[in-house]
Amino acid sequence: MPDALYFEDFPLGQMVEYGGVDVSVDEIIAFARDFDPQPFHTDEEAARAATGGLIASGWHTSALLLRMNCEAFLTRAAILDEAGVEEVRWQLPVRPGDRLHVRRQTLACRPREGRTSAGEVEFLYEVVNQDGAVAMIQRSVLMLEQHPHPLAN
Amino acid sequence: MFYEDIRIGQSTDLGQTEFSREAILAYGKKFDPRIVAQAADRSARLAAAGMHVAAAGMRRLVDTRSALRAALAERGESLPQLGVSPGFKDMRWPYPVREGDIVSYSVEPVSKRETSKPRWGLVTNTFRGINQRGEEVLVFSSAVLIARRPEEDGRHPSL
Repeated sequence: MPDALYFEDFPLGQMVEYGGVDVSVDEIIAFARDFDPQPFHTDEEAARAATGGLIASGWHTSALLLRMNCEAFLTRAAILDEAGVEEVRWQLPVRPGDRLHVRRQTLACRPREGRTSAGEVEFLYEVVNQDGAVAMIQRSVLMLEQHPHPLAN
Repeated sequence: MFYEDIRIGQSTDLGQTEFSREAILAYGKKFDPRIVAQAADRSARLAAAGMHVAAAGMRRLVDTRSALRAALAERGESLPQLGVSPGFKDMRWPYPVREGDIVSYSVEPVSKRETSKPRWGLVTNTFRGINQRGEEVLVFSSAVLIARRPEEDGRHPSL
C-alpha cells in the first residue's frame, strides 16, 4: 500500500474532522427492521408519542461512524488488530434529516512493548450533527504497524 | 417485569443468528468497504464487521423481549418497553465471525442498584455471543434503567 497509514501518522493530540452523511427516514427504518425493531425506530406514529418522532437506532449511528471512518482512513490503515471498543455513549437522538460528521482526536499512543514494529493508538470519535452537537462518542484502540522506514532520527 | 425481578447471575438465552455470506456482505456494502474488498476473492470466507455481530445481538434481544411480552400479555401482565440505550463499555471480539458461523447470544445481569430517581433502578448486564465451536465472538457491558415496581402493584410475575 503506497499510501498506507502507520502508527506514526496519528500523533498524540491530533484532531481531524471528516465525513458527512445525511440520515433519511427510509434508512433509519430499514436498519431498525434488520437489527433493532423497536417502535421508536420503525414506526413514525408510535415514535411521535415515545420519543417526539422517529430516532435512529444507536447501532445504526455506530455503523455510520464505521463507514465514515473507513472512508476517511481505516481502509488505508496498516491495522494489526482492532482490539475492541472501550466505550460508546449515544447521548443525543439522531433524527431524519440530520447530517452527521466525525471529529477524531488521538488520546494516546503506546509503542508496543517488546515489539518495536507495532503500536497502539487510542482514539476518541465524536459524531457531530448539523447543529454542532455531539450525538455519540466512541473511544477505541487500534493496533497499527509502525512505519517501515522511519523518517527522522 | 420490573427492577425487583432482575436476578444477578441469571443468564437469559437470546437465541441464535446464522451469519450468511449475503448478510455479511450486505452490512459491508452499507458500512464497511473492507468487507466488499474481501469479497472480490470469491473463495474467501468473509468475516463479519464486529459492529454487525453486536447489532445482530440487539436484534436477538428485541425479538426475545417481544416474545416474552406476548407471553406475559396472555396472563394479563406487562413488560415495559426498553428505554433508549445510553451506550456500552468494553466491547471485545476475541474470535472473528465468518460466513456460515452460528452465534448464540445471551445477556446476564451482573449488578443492580437503586438510583436517586425513585421510579428507576440501574442494572448492568454482560452481553455475550458464542459461536458453534464454543468460542467467544462478542462480549460487552451495558447499563440500563429499568422501572421499579409501582407500590400499589403487588403481583410478582414468575419468570
